[in-house]
Amino acid sequence: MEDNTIKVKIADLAVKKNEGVIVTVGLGSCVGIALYDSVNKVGGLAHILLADSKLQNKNESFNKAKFADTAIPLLIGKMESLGAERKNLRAKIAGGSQLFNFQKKGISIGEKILLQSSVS
Amino acid sequence: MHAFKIDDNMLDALKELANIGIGNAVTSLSQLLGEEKINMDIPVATLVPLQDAPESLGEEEIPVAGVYIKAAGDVDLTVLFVLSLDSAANLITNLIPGTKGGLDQMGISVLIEVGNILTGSYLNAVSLMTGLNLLPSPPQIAVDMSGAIISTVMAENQLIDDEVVLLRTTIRTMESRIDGNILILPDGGALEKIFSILGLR
Repeated sequence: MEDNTIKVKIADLAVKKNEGVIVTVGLGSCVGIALYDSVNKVGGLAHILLADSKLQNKNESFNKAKFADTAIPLLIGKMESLGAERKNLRAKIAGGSQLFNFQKKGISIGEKILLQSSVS
Repeated sequence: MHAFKIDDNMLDALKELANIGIGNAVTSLSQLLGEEKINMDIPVATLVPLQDAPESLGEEEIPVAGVYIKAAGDVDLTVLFVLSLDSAANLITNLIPGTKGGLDQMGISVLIEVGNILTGSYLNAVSLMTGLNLLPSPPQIAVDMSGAIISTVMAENQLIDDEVVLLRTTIRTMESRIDGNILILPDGGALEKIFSILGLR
């Protein structure tokens, strides 16, 4: 890999201004969220493991990049500190595959959100 | 972080448990393959940062076949039997001579069954040693990058700890050229119970 390539591991995120490449691999059921401000040339990428930080004991410090609800605000904040503006941000999301087909005990987070939004 | 500190003594105990358990599993595989000689590395028990876990089987972008079994009951354990695609093909042709070892319905079924037998023997041994009741779920299989399979297993189990305990061993058959990895992921609650049974907590 080239020197200006940043590799984002699982439950991790990175931001970059101007020249550079940010990559992540092996998403599986994880979700990769890429944000880009093409005006100010600021990009960011998060590799998120779980949906909701409520799973985490709030009294402990925890890795915000692990959960979608905490990682996205953190990612946007870091990008803003590099000069990105919210109005310019465009997002691309990949991942979230269901590799294993388990007999479902619960409901997938995607289905839950769709149901809550009255989308069937 | 885990609710308690995991020390070297505890990792050693887990390693020994895995050694006996996987040893049993490998004996079953040997019987299945017609008493073929199988080499098994001594299991490694490590506490790894969650972020490094997807690399624990080496290059995380290599496609592999992974059979995933979750054991529930008194504790939750995840067992993952991972084969390179070449090894998967060798295993299939060995058990069903005359086939090309492709990952068609029959091939997939063979891998799942082998995963089931290996995991069953492992869980049986752990259950005998600890007195814990362990019930395996029906196995599931996925063919994907090894990193994707491991991260999916961690997400599926909602591993919220920043460090995970990984038990890993490599097995190698002498004639049929099958290299496999067995990966065991106990969750925090399982570790706590196992350690108290072993008198380490």
